[in-house]
This record gives sequence, structure tokens and C-alpha cells, in this order.
Amino acid sequence: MEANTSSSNRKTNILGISAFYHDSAACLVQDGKIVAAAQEERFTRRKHDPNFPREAIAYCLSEAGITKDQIDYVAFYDKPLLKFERILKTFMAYAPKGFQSFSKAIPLWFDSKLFIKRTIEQELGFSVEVLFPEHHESHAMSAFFASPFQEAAVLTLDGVGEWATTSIAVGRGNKLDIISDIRFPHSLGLLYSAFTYYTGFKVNSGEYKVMGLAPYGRPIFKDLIYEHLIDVKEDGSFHLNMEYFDFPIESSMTNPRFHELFGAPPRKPESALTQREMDLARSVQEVTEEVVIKIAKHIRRETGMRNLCLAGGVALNCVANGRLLREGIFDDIWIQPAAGDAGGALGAALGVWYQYLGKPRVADGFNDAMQGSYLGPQFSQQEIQSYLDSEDIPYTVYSSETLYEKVAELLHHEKVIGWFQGRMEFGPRSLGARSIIGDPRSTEMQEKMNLKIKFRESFRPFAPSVLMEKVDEWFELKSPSPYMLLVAPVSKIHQREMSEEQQRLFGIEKLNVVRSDIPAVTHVDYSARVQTVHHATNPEYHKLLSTFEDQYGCPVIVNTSFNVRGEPPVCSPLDAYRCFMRTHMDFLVLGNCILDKSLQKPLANDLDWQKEFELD
Amino acid sequence: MTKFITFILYWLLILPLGMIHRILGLKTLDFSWRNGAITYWERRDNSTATERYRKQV
Repeated sequence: MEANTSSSNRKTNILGISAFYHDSAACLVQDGKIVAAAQEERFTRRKHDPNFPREAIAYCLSEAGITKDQIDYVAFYDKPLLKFERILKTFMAYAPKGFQSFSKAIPLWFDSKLFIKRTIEQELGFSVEVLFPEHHESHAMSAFFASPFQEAAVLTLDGVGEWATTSIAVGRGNKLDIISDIRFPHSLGLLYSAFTYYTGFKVNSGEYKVMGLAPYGRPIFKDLIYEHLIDVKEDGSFHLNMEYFDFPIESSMTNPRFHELFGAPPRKPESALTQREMDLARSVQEVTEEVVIKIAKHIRRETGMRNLCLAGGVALNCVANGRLLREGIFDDIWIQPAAGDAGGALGAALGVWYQYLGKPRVADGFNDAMQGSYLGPQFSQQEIQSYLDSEDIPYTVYSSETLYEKVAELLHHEKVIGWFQGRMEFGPRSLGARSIIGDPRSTEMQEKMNLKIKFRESFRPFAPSVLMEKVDEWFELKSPSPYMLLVAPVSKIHQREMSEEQQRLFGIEKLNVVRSDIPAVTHVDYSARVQTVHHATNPEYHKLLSTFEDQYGCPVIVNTSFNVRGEPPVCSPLDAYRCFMRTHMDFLVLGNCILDKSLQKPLANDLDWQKEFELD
Repeated sequence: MTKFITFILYWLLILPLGMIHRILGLKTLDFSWRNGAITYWERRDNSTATERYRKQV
């Protein structure tokens, strides 16, 4: 366990890596502190990039001011040979079906996935100790070791890791033990993904859309799901009826028997959405929530813990998270903001520091270790201006005193603004560092942002950022939600009652009803995916919200990720400028510079830019 | 070469092994469904991190 330290005073550098499935990422933990973390997609501009995170690693090292040879340990987020065993056994179980998938999957394993240690050492250029926590352990450690709790139960739910799809763990101080799990092919994440596929969305990215679509529907297929697809025990454990699914060996997820059960083939991607898809979405969403609640109750009984940490892709289901919080099963819950596979890199690195090296851990009960999840690259004012000058881009520089007043005024005039400040977020959510922002009071804003800015489906809701100090005045939520992972209703005093005629509306017709003082962020069921903004972690964004409230009486703004459909959120000023110019955004704020769209020259030779990004 | 290895691996190893498992009633995946079990949770025994993390299995 000796590190490659040349001096006893030098810090211990642990590089965490997740790669080769989806959302590859790197993270650097230095003496237990998270110094940097980023997804590879942000640099390569390829959404969910699964390749070795070469650029993310380079960024992490530069942020820490170290060279490759100063890395002491590399932590890979899963056990490749155990995963390979699962894949072989799966094909054995289904043979002679599945040869096509086998012939696609296996060469990738021979090429790189079976030789992770060798690949890492080749990339780094020297021999290093590479450690392999299990996939769900990495998720669990990303949730517990980064949480504010000294003791907590941990629930991880995702598609599948090596074998586990659902795990329960207990964390105490610097130790975490997985106590029980549910194994492949029985997976709540894959059940949700099967419905994502069946409703015509892309697996591993369209799950958010299913969640967003659910409030338009009725849970009329719920009984069918319980009767035929999932058997749920009182303790929340479950098995799927695999006669209805093809996901172990096919990319099609569901099979003809499933289609017969629901009376139609899967919806064709990009075809018109009907009430049926909305009802399917609502049904699987309710089943998911009910299973999560049952598991949570079981964990509370089994472990006696008062706090719960969550991670894994299913933990990004903020509707289920909000319900879990409201049920009051635990005193408090904390969700890792990079709950998907990218966060595995972080969990693996923290696990080496605490579990492998046995370093002490003291949590204060209030503050987590994520630093607001602002763990990515940042660009100085000088770097921003150098870029703008080099490209001959017109802009105006504002002082720190006047910038916020100007941006608040633009928001008030219903302008859509690209907001680029400080360090980029780690995880799938934009939290006010790389965001597109707007006025939530506008009745036009949701449609404008969806269709003219993001080029995405009109039903998709937008999230509000709200000052932490004012959250309970605007939403039925008292807890912090800094990572936009909790859904809560808009406060009754800000809701607007629907007329009888409006109440009779059905499905997508509900979309255009103004149902609160902040309609752009109020979903059809009066809910909102809330981000609380804290001065301690993002003072610039906090100041913008404070100024908007002081001047216009509203401490809430619309916040959506700074990208277009199919594109990863922007990372650099160049990415931000390109995205700004390709959409109908009105202004771009880069540091203290404001760029007015009406003064910009169109981008040259950029007519085909939409072909750059595969639709998600 | 990889294509050839993949072909051999599947038809000469995966398929026969899978068939033998099925004939002998051995499970490679647990497909149980409503089998009367009280729970589907499986208990885990954890060895120490120092042992586990060094292994890829």
C-alpha cells in the first residue's frame, strides 16, 4: 500500500476513472479533498462519451497542478472481470439467441475492457497501483463519503453494474459495507429503460423525458405492470418477469410478448406523442416511486439509520426523490449530484482514500464535500476577453457592481440569456455555472426555450433556481436542494386555480394553462424541479438572484443546461459562443462580458451544425 | 482475428456450456418469478477493502 511519494510531505493523489460504458469521467482526490471532476463528453463534445477519459484526466491533473507521475493510486469504478463473467453467463443463459449482440459486444472486451490496468498504464505512461472497487460500491461511496452525514444508510439503484442492480449499504465514518443486493437481470433501472424504449425515447438519456411526460398521463397500466412485469415483496425487493424483456441480449429492450401485453408495438422515435405514451410514462413512474418507498421503509427498519444517501442512475429520478423526502421515512436524505456512472469515478477515488488507506473521516452533519458540484474547468476574465478579441467578437465589459443589475433587467424584459460563470458543474445538471436562464414569470418562456433555444419537445418542463433563503416562500420545500434533485409543489399562494374548462383539458392540452405566478417552471401537476442557490457555493449566481428579487420582486429564475438537444453542456467560452450563435438566445454573459446577439455576425459555414449532434 | 475468436467462443463454448447447464438444471441467471420466496434480497459478506480492491473479480 505504499504510494509513489518522493517526499513524506507530499499530498496523496488519487485519480478516479469511470469509462467504457457511458458517461466516462475522471476525478482527482488529493488528501481526501475533491480537487477536480469532469465528464469526458464536455471536452470531446460527444454526449455520454464512453471512451477512456483522456481529456478529463488532463484537466484534473492541471487543476491540481500535478503531472501524471505524481498520481499515487488509480481507482477504476468497477470490476471488469466480474462484469465480463456476467456477460458470458447471460449469453450462456440465452444461447442460441443473441449471437449478433455477442459478436458486437465481445470484440470491445478483447480490445480494451478486459485490459483496464494495461490501458490505464499505457495512457499514463508509467506503472501505477490500480484498484477496483465494485460498481455499486463506487456509487454508494460517492453518495456516503461525499455526504454531510457521519452515519447513514445508502441505497444505490441503476441499470446494472457487475451483477448488482440495487444495493443497500451502511456507512459509518470511513467505512462502508454493502449488506444486501438484488442482481441482474432484475433491475428497476432497466424496467424504466424498457418503458423509455417502448415510448420511443433513447435508452440511457430519454429517461428524463419519461419522467417529464408522466404528469400528463393516467396510471392506467399500473396494474398490468404489477401483474405481469414486476413482483414486489413487502420489503421492496423485486424480480422482473423476464419473459417480457429482451434487454439482456438485445438492444431492443422489450419483446413481442411485451408489445402484445400493452397492445401495440413501440412508438417510433420522433413520431407524435399520444395520450398512450403519457399513460405508460405515468404508470411506470408510479411503480418506480412505490418500489423506492418500499425499499426505503425496509432500509429504515433493517439498519435503524436516520439518514439516507442515494446514488445510481435511478437516483436522478427527482420526482421519486421528492416523494421519498415527503414520506418522512428518514430524517434527511442526500443524493449524489453525479448519481450516474460519471459519479462512480468520484466514489472509487474517495473509497481508496477512506476504505483502502483507512484515513479518518469527519462529517459535520450540514456541509457535503461536493463544493456545490462546481468541480470542472473555469476561465479567467482575461482568458475570456482574449478569446473574444482574437475572434473579433463584439462585447461590453461590465463591472461586478453593474453586471447583475444589467442581467436582471434583461431577464425582466423576457430575454433568454446564456450564463457562463466560474467552474463547470460535475454531473448531468447545470447549476448556474453553464446555464441558460430566463424569467419564470413569462407565459411564453417555456415554449420559447424548448422550441427556439433547446430545439426539443415542447412538453418538457424547465427547472427553477431559487434563493435558499426564499425557497419555502415559493415552493413546498424546506430542505436545501442544491443539485436540482428534488421535485416539490409550487407554494399554494403562488398557484393559480384552473377554471372548470381548463380542468377538463387532457394530456398535452394542459401545457399552455398558466397555473402559477411562475408558469415557465410549473409543471402540469404544479410541481417543480427545484435548485436552491447558496451564497457559500455559488456567490455570483446567488447575487444575480438577489438582484433580480430586489429589482423585480421574484427570487426565482428559469435554469436549463447550456446546450441544444443532443449536445453536452458547454465547457469553454468557444463552446458557449457557438451554442449562443446557433440558437435564438438573446444575450450571452461570459464572466463580466455581455454579448448582444443583434450585434453579432453569423457564424461562417455553420449551416449544418445540427448534424453534429445525434438527437437524444 | 477477433471475429474468428468471437465466433469460436460463442459456438464452441458459450452455446454448448449454456445447453449443458440447461440440461443439468444449473442456473447461469436467476429467472425466478413469483416462486414463493419471502424476499429477493441477497445478503452480502464483505471482505476488507484492501483485499477486494486489488482484484478485478
